[in-house]
Amino acid sequence: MTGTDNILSARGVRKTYGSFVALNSVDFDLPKGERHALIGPNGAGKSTLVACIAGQLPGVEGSILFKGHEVARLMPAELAKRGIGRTFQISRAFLQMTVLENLTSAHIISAGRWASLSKSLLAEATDKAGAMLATVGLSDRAQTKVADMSLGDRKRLEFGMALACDPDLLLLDEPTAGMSIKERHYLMDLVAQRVDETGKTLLFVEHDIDVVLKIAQRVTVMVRGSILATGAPTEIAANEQVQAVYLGGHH
Amino acid sequence: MSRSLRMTPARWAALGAAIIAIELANRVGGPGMSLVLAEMLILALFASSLNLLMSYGHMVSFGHSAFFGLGAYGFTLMVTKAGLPVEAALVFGPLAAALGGLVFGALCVRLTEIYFAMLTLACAQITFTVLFQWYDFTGGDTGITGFMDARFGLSEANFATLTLVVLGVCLAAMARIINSPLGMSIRSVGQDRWRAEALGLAPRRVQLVAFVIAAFFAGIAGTLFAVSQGSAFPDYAGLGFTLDALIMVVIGGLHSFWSGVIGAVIFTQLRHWAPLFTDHWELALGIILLVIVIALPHGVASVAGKLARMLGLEGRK
Amino acid sequence: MIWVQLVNGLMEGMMLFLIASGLTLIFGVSRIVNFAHGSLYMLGAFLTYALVPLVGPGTVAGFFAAVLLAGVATAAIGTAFEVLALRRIYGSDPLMQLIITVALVFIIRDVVRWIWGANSVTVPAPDALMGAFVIGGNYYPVFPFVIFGAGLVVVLVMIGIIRFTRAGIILRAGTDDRGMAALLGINERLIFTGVFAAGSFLAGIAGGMAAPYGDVNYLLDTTVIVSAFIVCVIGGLGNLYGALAGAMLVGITKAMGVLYFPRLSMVLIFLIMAVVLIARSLGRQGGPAR
Repeated sequence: MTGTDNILSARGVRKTYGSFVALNSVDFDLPKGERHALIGPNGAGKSTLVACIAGQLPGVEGSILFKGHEVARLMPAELAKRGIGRTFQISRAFLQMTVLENLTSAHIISAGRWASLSKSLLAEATDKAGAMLATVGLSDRAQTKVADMSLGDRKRLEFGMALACDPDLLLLDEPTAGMSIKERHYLMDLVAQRVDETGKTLLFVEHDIDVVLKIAQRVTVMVRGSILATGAPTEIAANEQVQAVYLGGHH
Repeated sequence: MSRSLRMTPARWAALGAAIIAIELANRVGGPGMSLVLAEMLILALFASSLNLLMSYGHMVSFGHSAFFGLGAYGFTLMVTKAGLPVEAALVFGPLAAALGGLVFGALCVRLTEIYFAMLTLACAQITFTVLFQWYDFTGGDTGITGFMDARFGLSEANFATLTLVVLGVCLAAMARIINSPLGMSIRSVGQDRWRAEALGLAPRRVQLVAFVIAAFFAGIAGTLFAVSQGSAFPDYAGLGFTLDALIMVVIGGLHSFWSGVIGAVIFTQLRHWAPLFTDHWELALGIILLVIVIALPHGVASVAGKLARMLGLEGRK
Repeated sequence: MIWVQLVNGLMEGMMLFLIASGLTLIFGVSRIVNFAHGSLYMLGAFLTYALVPLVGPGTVAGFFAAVLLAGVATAAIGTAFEVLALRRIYGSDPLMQLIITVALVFIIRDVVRWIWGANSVTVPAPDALMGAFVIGGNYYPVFPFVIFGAGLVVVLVMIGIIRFTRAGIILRAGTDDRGMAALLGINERLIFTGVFAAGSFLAGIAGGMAAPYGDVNYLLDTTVIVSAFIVCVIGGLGNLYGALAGAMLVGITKAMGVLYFPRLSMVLIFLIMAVVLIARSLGRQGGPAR
């Protein structure tokens, strides 16, 4: 589904670390409701771009419009409130808390009531968390400490947490890294399903070409801080430049 | 971690037994015992306030004694300088401590980990030095004495009971905070501030709230301590009390609500009975700490938990 | 008067650097905050007190020999602690590591009090060092100059080792990138122990050298450790040259503070540390990109 409405528009986004240019004046448009993959070799700047959009990096130059508003220099918490949900490349969750507690926290935070002392709010959030558990298929792990869980389950949890805030844009940074093939497809099918059901937009960084071909409606290839090509997955796969740089080799 | 707060019937029974044991020792053991118990319970409150910060907020403070001292002096100065009656002045101790927590906290939460700890140390040492040097206002190193009858004039036993009640109320309040959305937020930021931030939480704000709450309860402990001694000294804000509190929390274990209490009980009893057997109580303490850290990295509370489970006293894991 | 204080400040700054350098190197390499560093300083002072009468008493060479021996003994004790206790908890909760060093503080303090009592002791320095000389009508004590000079020698040797020897290169690699150093087959354990030993040695000789000039008692450890922390923080934990700058700043501020704001000199120093920390925090924002 392509709309003329872009939920995200980046112009001239540039991020340097000293003399190292991680992102070199990137222009990028993301239509609302699209499932978009970001691929490229290591060091291409994919995670950096995601981190810039998520507000995590200082010193970002250029403009990033989200839902029409300039957000390039806002903090992550502010962006979360505006509707960006994200997962991290190295899965981040509240390790010493149970799965249920993690999701409960996510719901409390998204309700904006973090400072409340209300037990009923806590109960409400716990109920919602239970529902989210079912959505991501972790109901049998409600009382498990996250630190004791497998990577695949943690990634599913993280996805659930990102969903809990009902974001309009989901930023997933290598959501399937380290997972078995079966787990990968399970998770991404789940992601795609949720995204479509709720009309959300998805931008995900991915290395597994099968997943990309299956899930993405459009693909952007990045190399050394710049965008090399953008288009439908099959187009990109056939693109000679892309093949030379990335797909030609193995991954 | 709030697992340690889940009160099963077995745990209620254990708690009840502990309270009865303390009261018994209080009434039967004589005034000397009562004084020791009162000190133990006050330190338990102090250590629990630090525990709140450390076990739940994952914020290691090297300057918690600042609030203990501010609590003592906030109360005392209201009596000596503002002429307030003792009962009315009591509320100003925790208030001064909370204010200190707000000011120091606003600065300290800008940093993380070791630098956060260092700044808290600086704040505490500044507090101590000001109390120590500002002779005209705070009485300097000679402290403030003789402004009230120690313990409100209560008998040692009655005062110890009072501290037990205050401790109970404060612990209940802390438990309420932990088992609330605020408690979850504090724990979230403590576990992974980036994850919390990506969900929409401003970590510094949450940490500041946790800091102020911990300072408030430390202030209550400091006020009680001033009452128990009938005096206030700059030492109350000194490194000694900070180290004591850190040791108590570590002995108790870092992942339990009860760490502060358990640690305070063990530490205070050790401090009182060890000198009877040896001149070298600090050596003993050092060695015990070494052993605990090496052998029991999760402190005594974890052992107590395991023991209880082994004995079948816990309903679930 | 001001120049005399300046000279005192230089000496104090140099001693502070010797202590802080060990502390900051230990942190840089093994990420341990050694609360017991002040205790090692104190140990060096007391050991010097014990050794001076035994090693050419009254002579300058004897004094420095005693200091060196005290330093070596302190290093031995520090090494023993590192091997027996600290090693077991590398990689665990930083708070645990901290508490274990606090445990050492209690142990050393008690042992010192056990052996030498609760009263202050005076370390007799050779007469040659306790005189004064005149420049431009002012009397300057000899001792701070000499100690400053001795400290400078140690600093130069330290820098020489770090820059020009294999051990030094390994140390720098270890501080910069531990994972890489490990990959290169450098024995991490040996580096950790070596750094702790060196740090203990430095603290010990600092304690010994400064001993004749001040009070030596069992409370020395806490005053010293707080100042050392401040210096390390101001200079940046792990940053040796920063520690040098910080130490001189703190030493001179303290000495001048005694002249101009006697009651607030410590507060001033804490304020400097607080300002440095906060200024640093303003340059930071955001989080990990991954």
